[in-house]
Amino acid sequence: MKTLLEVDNVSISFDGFKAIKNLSFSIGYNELQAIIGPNGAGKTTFMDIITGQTKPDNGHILWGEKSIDLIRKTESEIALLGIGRKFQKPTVFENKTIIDNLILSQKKNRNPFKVLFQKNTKSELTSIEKILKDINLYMIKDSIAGEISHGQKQWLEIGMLLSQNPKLMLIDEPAAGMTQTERNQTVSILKNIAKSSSIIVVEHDMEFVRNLNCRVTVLNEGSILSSGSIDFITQNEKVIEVYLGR
Amino acid sequence: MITDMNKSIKKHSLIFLITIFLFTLLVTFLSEPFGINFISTSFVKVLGKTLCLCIAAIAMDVVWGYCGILSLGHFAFFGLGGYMIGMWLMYERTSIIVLNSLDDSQLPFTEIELQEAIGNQIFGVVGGTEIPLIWTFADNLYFQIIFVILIPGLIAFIFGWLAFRSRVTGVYLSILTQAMTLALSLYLFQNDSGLRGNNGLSGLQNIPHLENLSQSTISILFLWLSSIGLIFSFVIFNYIIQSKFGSVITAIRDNETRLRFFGYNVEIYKLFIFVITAIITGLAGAIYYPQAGIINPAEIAPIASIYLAVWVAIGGRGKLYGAILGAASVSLLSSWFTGGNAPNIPLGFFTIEWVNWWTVFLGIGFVAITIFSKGGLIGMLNTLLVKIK
Repeated sequence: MKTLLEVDNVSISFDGFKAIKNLSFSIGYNELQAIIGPNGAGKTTFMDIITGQTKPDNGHILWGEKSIDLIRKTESEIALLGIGRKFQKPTVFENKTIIDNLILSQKKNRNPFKVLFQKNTKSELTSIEKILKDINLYMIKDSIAGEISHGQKQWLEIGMLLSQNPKLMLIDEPAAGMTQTERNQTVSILKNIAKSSSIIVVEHDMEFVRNLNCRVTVLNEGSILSSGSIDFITQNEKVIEVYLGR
Repeated sequence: MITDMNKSIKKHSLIFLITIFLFTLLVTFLSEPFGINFISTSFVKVLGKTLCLCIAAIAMDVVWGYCGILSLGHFAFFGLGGYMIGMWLMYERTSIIVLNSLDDSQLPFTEIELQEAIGNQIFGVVGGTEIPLIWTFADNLYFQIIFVILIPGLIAFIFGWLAFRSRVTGVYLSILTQAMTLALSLYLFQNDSGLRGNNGLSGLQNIPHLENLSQSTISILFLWLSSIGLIFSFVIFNYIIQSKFGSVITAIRDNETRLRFFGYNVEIYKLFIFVITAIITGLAGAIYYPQAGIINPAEIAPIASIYLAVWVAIGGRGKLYGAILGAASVSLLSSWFTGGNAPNIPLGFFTIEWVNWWTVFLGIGFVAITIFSKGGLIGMLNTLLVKIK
């Protein structure tokens, strides 16, 4: 499988505390992977480094066929290269309607002088409507995003990523605050997305990760403990000790 | 539903523009030179100046209310616009006067003598006769009009580029803009700043080559200029905030970090808004000061920019007409109270003199409005209308 993103021997410390230690990780095109680990394992820091919010002390992050190093790029440049991110706490623009949120994130020219005169074409609106149906929000598309439920916000943020149409999505705790039915729907939404783009899902919930049925990487204290199928890692003694045993 | 909303916004904007037009027409018919002489020339000037302040207020509303940058420096751009046009007004008028007086003398004069006479007239007050380098183009109206746009735009660009690139936001940015304003004002207070120190530029109400027109006629001309300026800037800003660009800048206000991860270069958007509002504010200043007649560094002091923010907050930020309502009502009330027109209130043991107490009253009003109505005056009005319906 061709590699889309390769994280190569990355380390970072905050005031002497090593949050990530010599971490290496890679994901291929249209691959779905999950990352699990206890609190403070460095999952969110790992995402911060990939998306450019935090600069690592050393190491490389290589992207795509041309192996572009992401370390010197800004958040918006990395996003334009094709990496989208969903935050742990659903972060949508609460003063805008659901459909306006999707229009804002839609993949289009981001040059301010172009944006000033951008209008939505029919086909673009059709693709937004399709996303609205995929994330089960079509019926309430004109509601203000601040007024919908927590689970719906999670979906809206995933929808915004879909509209952004990235090659790789980093999804932090998509199932937090969801009912069992909503969780199952989220699993099918994610599996559906994975047909056309790569996804890294960070989750706490083992059952949710099991349903995703993908390669799982266990992080602990900033480095990789184990990696493989869910059945493989749940039999690893170290994993049971630090994570499952609790 | 979105199209419905757009339609109602379009309708409101149209009503607003027609109101401004009719208001200007009404004032013209009530004025001395073109109508029934009901409104004095000085009041026409007050109204014209108020319209210019409204332009500055909507620019402030766009940069603060929509984009979330609390700039405490926009009135500096207003003042700079005034200085740039003031240079031409003063130079041209002085050169006409000097030429006339030299014509009366029998001896022919050289170009150097002419320059010296003009320099002496303008800069004698700060102990100089040389015309400073920055006045090189002061004899050319077109150049100075270009400077009205260029100077505020350039300063805003350099300042904004440095500040936004370093990701200075929130209160820190406000303090930085205030420091910029203070520095500029202190510099202009210097006698060797080339702009006549604390004397500022004066006699700006006398427009060169329009000597045949009376001040009352000129006041009406400038009223129309101000009104057209307000309509023009309202149309521009209204377009910006209704477009997708407007959606981006309100997203910057609400959560700029999130927006970066969608691939928007937030700094460029902020810079664009900062510069365009600075330019429009500068243009407003260039129409304001010929009506005020004088500009000095005190006008640029940080307090003026704070007032601008107060007007927008009182009127209701995040709505263009809110900013206009705030600026118009507060600045008109302010000139009424501080003009000594308001009757003093004797309390027996103490007399409330409005000239001194107005700012206290304004302060209390500001606090009350920010506490009780989040949307300012316009927010109150809207809730009232909803209740009536």
